[in-house]
Amino acid sequence: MSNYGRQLSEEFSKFPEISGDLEFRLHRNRQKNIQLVNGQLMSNQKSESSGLSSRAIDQGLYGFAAQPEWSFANAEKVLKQAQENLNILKSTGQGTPFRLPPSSAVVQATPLTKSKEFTETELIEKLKSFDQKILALGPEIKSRRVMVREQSFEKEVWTGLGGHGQFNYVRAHIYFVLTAEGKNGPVEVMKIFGGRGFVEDIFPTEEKMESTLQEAYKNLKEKMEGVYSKPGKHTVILDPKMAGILAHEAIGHTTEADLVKGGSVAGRYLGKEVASPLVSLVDFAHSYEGKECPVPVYFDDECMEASDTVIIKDGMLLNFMNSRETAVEFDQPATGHARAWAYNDEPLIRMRNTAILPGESTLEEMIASVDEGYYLMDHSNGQADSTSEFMFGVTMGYEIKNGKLGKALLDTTISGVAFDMLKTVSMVSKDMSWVDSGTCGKKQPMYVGMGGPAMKCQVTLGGRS
Amino acid sequence: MNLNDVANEALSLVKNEGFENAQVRVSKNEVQELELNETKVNLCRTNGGFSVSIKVVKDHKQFEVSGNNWTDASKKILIEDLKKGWEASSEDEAYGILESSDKKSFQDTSKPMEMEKALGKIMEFSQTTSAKYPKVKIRNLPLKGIQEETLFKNSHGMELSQKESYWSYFTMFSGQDGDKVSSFNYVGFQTQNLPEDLLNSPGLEHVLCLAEREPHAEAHTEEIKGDVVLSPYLVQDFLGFVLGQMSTGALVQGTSLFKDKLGQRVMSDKISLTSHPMAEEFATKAPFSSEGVLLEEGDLIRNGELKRFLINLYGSNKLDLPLSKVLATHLKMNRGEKTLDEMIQGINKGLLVMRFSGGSPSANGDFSGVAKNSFLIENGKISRPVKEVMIAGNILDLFKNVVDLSREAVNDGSSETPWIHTKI
Repeated sequence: MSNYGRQLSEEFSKFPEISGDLEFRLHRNRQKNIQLVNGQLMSNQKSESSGLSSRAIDQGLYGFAAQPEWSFANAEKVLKQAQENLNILKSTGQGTPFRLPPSSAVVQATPLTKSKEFTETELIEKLKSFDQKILALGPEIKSRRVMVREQSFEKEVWTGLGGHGQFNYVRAHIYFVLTAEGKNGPVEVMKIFGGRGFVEDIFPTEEKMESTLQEAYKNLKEKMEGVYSKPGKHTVILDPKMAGILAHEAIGHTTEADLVKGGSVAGRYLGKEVASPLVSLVDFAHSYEGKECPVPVYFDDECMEASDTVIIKDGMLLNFMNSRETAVEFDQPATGHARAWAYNDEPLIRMRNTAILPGESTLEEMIASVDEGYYLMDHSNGQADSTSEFMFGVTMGYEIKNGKLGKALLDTTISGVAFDMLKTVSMVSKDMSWVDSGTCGKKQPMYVGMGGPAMKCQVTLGGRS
Repeated sequence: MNLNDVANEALSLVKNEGFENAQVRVSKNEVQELELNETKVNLCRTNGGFSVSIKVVKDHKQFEVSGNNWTDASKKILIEDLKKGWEASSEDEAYGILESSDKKSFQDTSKPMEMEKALGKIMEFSQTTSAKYPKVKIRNLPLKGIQEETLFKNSHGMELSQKESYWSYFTMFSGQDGDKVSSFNYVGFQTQNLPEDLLNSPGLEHVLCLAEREPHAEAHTEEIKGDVVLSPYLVQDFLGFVLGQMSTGALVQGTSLFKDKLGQRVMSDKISLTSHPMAEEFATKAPFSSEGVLLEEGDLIRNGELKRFLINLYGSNKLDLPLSKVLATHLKMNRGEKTLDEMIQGINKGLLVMRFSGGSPSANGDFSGVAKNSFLIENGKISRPVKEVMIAGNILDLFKNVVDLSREAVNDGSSETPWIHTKI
């Protein structure tokens, strides 16, 4: 535990000399997984993956090499191999002259400490006690699962141009899933506790546990009697918990510069109005209104200092998210988006904390303003597209009739074309809710933060007529 | 690093800590990768990999650790974590280590990873594709040459090893015509040898042909009901939910929709699904499971009937069911009599769905989502591309309502799947 916050280089025997446009990275990921099924411990595992890598860069070409063991011999090996790999590519004549911005940020990580320490036994006992509270909720619960996932990520990066950065990030989540038999077959409700920190830091208080359990049980009973949403385009109120995934899937991905190069329609809209003036969207690097975001990133794996990227301001598309290379290609700043998941992964353009900014309405007046539509509260997975068409699963929601909430919905999916849908945004709430359990998938996984307020807009729902 | 030395040392270390019942899985690999991004191969990568996983069972308590280093320091941490985790674990008589002393070695013919040749193949793919399919934009194509070695040992004398090398690649692309862009699509493959022509990968040209038409897709908001033809890639996606119902996890949880269905019809009688872990026509092989079960060829579904559950050692002990030597790996779905064209000719109005982007299916199998890269079928022909098409249904019903399976099938290197004509 005490290692989280130290420089990884303290555990490294000897450091090689580096110069020129190349990166050298020490990297360690750890994960703890526990799963209780119907009170029984089904899975209990710990894993660690660490290693070192080098990336040599020239003419828009990249030679990369990685090895799992931190040793001076392996460091020399990857530095040599990365250069050789770069030379293979250069020999094809595909390179083009490129002057990349200097990767020379020097950033120290904030040490992380636990607020308290659970022994392994204490943690299992606490989870079993929590499971018993679920069991006591009611006879409708036919199956229950409690899962813990704690992940830590540590990196230390050097560049041949003088950059040096350290990064520590730990997050933990407790998921629980309740299953009951509904009128249309089995239904499930999942809730999550957690966020940045170790499992000890995020373990819920009795009060929080009780209120969340009661909410889950209420939702489960409502879903047992739930109805299918009507297929087609509808006016919806997206809860603040949903705004984050909208920001991430619908807009964020389409404005990643590598996807813009790959044909994303956002490439056509730079400097143009793409949304209602009520919509502003920012990918925050590390802080929002003076507080750290769920995934604070102070530098990226190219050693570029991280700063906020304003993507949409008052409905106008202003910026893409860039690596060093795409920053040159699009003549925009490189603001620290190039991040790698594991020691043997290359940095890719990734979001950090993507959020739609709050407006002035309240959730209550937004729901009251809808004659017929849906209030959508919880989401599952999502996906973006080069056309800006997005989708994400909805696992909890309600009908809205005459400004009031009606029956609960069975699971459904919403979709829309982001740059059309954003123009239908007619109300934005004052709230700001962050979601931090997400793992984005784009060749590699990546931990991301997502946030936003409640929004009134029009989307297409799946369902049954 | 010698895998046998690591496995023996790991078993010895845990034995010294009082764990007589243990298993160790240790593997190493070397991956060489080239990645085409748009029209340029701009990444060349060499990755070394190693992993060791140790599981112990004692006094009906179990714990498992894994890591990717085997230094003195990392061994110490792994063993300490193992002791602490085991101590905290709760008792369950179903925990166990397979009581088998099988000794077998599986080794394919080692092939050199000819990266310079591979580089030429990718560049040729890029040039040929842009000439032949000018309205397709290749976003990327990572091609990996993989050499892997795995050793599995346990305290009962079991010793299973596998050494194989293969190529793995996928390509992501979209249709682009002027400023019109289609949804992206992707396909992936594994092959034993470096393909002579990457463009000649199973079904790839068909998908690229369709992608050329997709930039002009029109929004289709009318509800889709009735006939749909699902691509092999999509059939595999939906099969994932079905296989989940046959798994130990769903059966132990009591949530499996198949829990009382063994020996009963759960799909159309047109469908058979079999596992072929050592099939010659697949690029990779799966001779043994993650807990050391020597895998066999066998039916999962035969003429629509559920033939077995996919029971691991824990599930076998917990549910008093036989341990399954047939798992959901290297699956082949049977083919039908009609060609894809003939299937489509029989449809008056329907939808050809190439890819699906939807929310996770509900516990009862209900799904909804966007039918991506899709085409309307009208009067027996693929008429026009459509976009923004939301479809909904139930996955189990999809497989019950099958009208036909195609004569063609896509072998992606570890599975073989036909096109399916069904109804939603």
